[in-house]
Amino acid sequence: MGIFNLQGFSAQKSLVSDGATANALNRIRDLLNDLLHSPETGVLHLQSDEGAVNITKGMIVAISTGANECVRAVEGGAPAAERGFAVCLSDSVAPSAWGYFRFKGEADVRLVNGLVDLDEAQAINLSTTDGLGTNQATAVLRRVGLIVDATEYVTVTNPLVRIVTEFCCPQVA
Amino acid sequence: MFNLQAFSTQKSGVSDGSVANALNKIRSLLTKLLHSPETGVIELTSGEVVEDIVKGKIVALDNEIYQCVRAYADDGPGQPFTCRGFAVCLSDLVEPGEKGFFRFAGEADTILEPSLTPGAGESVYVSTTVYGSGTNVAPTGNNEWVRKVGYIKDASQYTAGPPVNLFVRMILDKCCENQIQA
Repeated sequence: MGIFNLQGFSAQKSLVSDGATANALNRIRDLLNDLLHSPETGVLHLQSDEGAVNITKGMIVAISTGANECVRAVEGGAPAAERGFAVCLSDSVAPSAWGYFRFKGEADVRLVNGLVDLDEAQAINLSTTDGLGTNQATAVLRRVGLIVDATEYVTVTNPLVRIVTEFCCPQVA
Repeated sequence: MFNLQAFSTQKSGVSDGSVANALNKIRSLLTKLLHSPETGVIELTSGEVVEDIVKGKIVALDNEIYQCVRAYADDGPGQPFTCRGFAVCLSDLVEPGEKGFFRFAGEADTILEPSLTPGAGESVYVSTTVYGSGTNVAPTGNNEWVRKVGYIKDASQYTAGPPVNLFVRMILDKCCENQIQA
């Protein structure tokens, strides 16, 4: 689950590429593309505030202290690492690079390894490992979302489950 | 949801021309977007065995893939699957085992219990007496759970009738949050 792929939407087929109609259709495509990468559709564009580690697809991040910055979220971490959760949609976001993150809707979230009792409708909480979730209770519960499909989870090789979430500002338990 | 059928792509044009083709693709894409989690809508299968889920009913995630059942706030921690991940049915009617569309964020016309006096600004909780309905009265009884779903934006259409109309317009609020016991 990522962002709609608009590349398959051709606006120039059988049209003069620089004609008025093709130009208008391309503008519509650009507008839709912007919409699908915007907070209006649950997506944030954030810059990694990590110093050395890449943020990979499915990792949970929190709003950091710098403008438009994020870090990997972790239960029991500093306050800034437990605020405003979102899930990384980009394949890999290097330190100081920009990426896309979903705070509302569906997302494939990366979990800790070794979970054996995953099931739909379970809550996913922040784990004590940076950027990863768990279905286990933690000392301070920080809920990220609820599982709608746990069938793809394979420990180590594909530790991802599909969740639905509609909030980015969880309250303190 | 928005009705995109009113978005005509053929008016005064050739229906199979390149422009009409492009506009149809736009309509198709917008339709998908308006039925997607990106805009607060999720497609779920009814896990009910007998009862239909009708428009305005509140559902909760079930413990099967993309499945839901009517929410009920009197099941407590032993039966959590009727009280997690709330959404409101947008489809007119979803029969057992069939798929339908449900809103988990945004606004939705929601069915409340009968004989209430709901008002704008009040909270809506999952009912402890009617499966899939809401109430503006927070549960207080033993073993009852406070499952807050959202806030009433407009209660003006709610009436004991005749004809009966149990709908209020509700703003869904943090439907995945922790819930508390009364």
